[in-house]
Amino acid sequence: MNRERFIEQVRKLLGDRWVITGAWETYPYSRDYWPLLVYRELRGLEHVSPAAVVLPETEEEVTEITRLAEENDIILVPYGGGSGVLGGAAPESDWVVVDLSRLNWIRWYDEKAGIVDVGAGVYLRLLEEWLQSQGRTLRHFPQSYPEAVIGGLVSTRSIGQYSTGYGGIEDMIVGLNIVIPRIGKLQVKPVPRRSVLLPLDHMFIGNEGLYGIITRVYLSTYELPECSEKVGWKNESFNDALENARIIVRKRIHPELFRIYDERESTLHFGEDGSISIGVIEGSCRIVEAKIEDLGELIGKDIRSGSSYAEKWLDKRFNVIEDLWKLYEVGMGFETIEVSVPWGWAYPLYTDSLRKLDSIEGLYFAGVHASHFYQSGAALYYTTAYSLEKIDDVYREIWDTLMEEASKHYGSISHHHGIGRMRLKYLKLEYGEEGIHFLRQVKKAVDPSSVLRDDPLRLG
Amino acid sequence: MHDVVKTFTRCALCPGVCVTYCPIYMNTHIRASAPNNLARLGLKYLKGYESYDPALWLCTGCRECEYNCPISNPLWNAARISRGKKSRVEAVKVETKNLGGRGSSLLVVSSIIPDQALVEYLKQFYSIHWLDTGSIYMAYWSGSEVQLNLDAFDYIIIDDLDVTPALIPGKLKGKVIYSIQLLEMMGYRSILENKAFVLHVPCKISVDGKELLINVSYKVLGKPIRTISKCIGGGGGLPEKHPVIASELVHSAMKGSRKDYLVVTLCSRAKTHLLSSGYQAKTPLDFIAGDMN
Repeated sequence: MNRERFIEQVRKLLGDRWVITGAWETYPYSRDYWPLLVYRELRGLEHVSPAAVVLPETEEEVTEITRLAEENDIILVPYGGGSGVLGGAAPESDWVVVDLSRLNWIRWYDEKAGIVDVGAGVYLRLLEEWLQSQGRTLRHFPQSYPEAVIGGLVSTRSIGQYSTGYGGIEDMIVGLNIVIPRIGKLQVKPVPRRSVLLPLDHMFIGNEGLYGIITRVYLSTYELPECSEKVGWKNESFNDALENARIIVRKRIHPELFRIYDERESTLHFGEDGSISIGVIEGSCRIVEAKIEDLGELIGKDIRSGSSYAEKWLDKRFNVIEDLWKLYEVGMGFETIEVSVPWGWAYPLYTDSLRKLDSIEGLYFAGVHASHFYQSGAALYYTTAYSLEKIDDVYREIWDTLMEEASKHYGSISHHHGIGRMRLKYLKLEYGEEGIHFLRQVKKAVDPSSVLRDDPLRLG
Repeated sequence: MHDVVKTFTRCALCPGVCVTYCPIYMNTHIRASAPNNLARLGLKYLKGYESYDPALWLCTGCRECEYNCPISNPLWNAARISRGKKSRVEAVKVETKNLGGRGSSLLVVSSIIPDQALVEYLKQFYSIHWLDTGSIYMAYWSGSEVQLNLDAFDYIIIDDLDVTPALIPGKLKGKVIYSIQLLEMMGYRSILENKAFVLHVPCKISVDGKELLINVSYKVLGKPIRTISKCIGGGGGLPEKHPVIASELVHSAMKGSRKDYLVVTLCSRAKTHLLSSGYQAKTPLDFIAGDMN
């Protein structure tokens, strides 16, 4: 490794201002939003800062940085908004962070097609505001909406709150550029669909910075909806709520934003018994009206009368800090874990996993909601609160329990948060030996020197 | 007493809901200035990492983070108080200068000594006092509290908004007049009509306050070619501690405006920053002094 030479070369490439090595300037990159690291830091544990941070402005600079990194035996880790919740962006002390925040252009690629050309460092909130000023919308609203950037969202295969109507980020991507160490800048031009061997753009959605650095994304956008109506209703139980959701999605009369809460979370969020469903139905006014009518008939209730549940949730949907602080003040930590599961296994997974979670010492709360639905199944989202005194033990136990239960019930270990560092040891549950072997072989082919981190594949 | 550790901890627990509102972070890409990161560095600084001090000065106190925070966390104040690693907040006694006159007492709060012609004019109706905010500026932004008996004055004219949070508790609202409002009360109307000028309404005013002052400014000055109501990096100690960043901020805010355009700013501190960055600038009080150019 020749770090000094690398830093010198990158200084020449970018200018001194865009190569950071000072202690207080590099410390912010020492973690992302992985709760384990957040709480450890607040409890006084020192995180390691990267050796340096470089801030390229162009895709060509990113390409040159990867070339120089290989030449000098440097490991790079890309950094977007730092909103990842599993430690994927947290560096080792000898790694160099590539901060993508200067790749921040937003422009139309094809206005008629509604395809927007976006730099990887663009904040989602700013992109959505720009689109809305043009009468368009991405309709991608993950909880990290205020602080996430496009490159990070694509790298983790993100999903948003309106996914049941509009899909995940992968459904909005029509092309992208990615810098791959041995390959250079791979450009996959934006088209509505293609059938040309391996889908080179979609192969890299969710690569978490292991195979390449996403620098540019072409996104397909929607027209702003003419009408938007909030609905809500109460189900007898979470099992009923799941069954209702399955039928609603099968009949394709689902709200664009659709969430169902188990009894525990219904009490927590709405202060009521039962299992609450909320939704936002969007589109042309006539379609919205028709959907509300059909949906109401199917549920057997006036679903508009429950709109206050949806309003309450919408008001607070990006406000995570209020609850986190309340818990922190009484010595409690917070963790959310998402898995996906086919319909037939959704309720068994729910009951079996909660029973096991409830037996974990130091875990004070575990509840579930589902907020992303498909023809074939749903994502279950677990919310837990636990004693910070016992964080190291409780945290691992929660994760071990849920990953094993998801796998046992034929679910995926991750629906949209990705792998990061936290899920490394569960990779085998998802893909088996052969899958991991394949991932390793691809890595060896495109990044044999491991310019981009390879630890997930070594440990998986 | 502000619990700085609590304020920092709340921000450090947050993923950074407000980061895109922070003018310093969005203009400079310096991750340490993003509010949640600044809070993390603040906590470390309080635990003995003294070399982290420059990070605490990456804040002008514009309050955008507080205004866009779901729990209105006043990070800017925690950063301010922590500077210089104060274990307790020191109070700085402030003296005002009596400029003469008679009648109701009127305090002019400005970093620039009021023009003599203006003072002579006002002295016909008021007993004039001047608070030189330049004398308390760095003390306040280094964490001290300002001690001044504002009850002693019947009216307070604010021409320096940078230290407004230090001076104007809510209960005094009734007697506070921003300098542009003074012009309105004196009957000035459309004084820059047909002239190309830029209006700057400082960031430290709340959203509602900005709207009010912008409307008053339009009435008094006429319609500017552009209104800037964001941070230009002129206060909070930023120009003194990070001059390059302060300069980048003003040029970024003024992007698209020609340097020969007059900038009318409602803050004398901002005026100083604009002038030193090569722009022509005036505050409303300059117009009362008879300079209409």
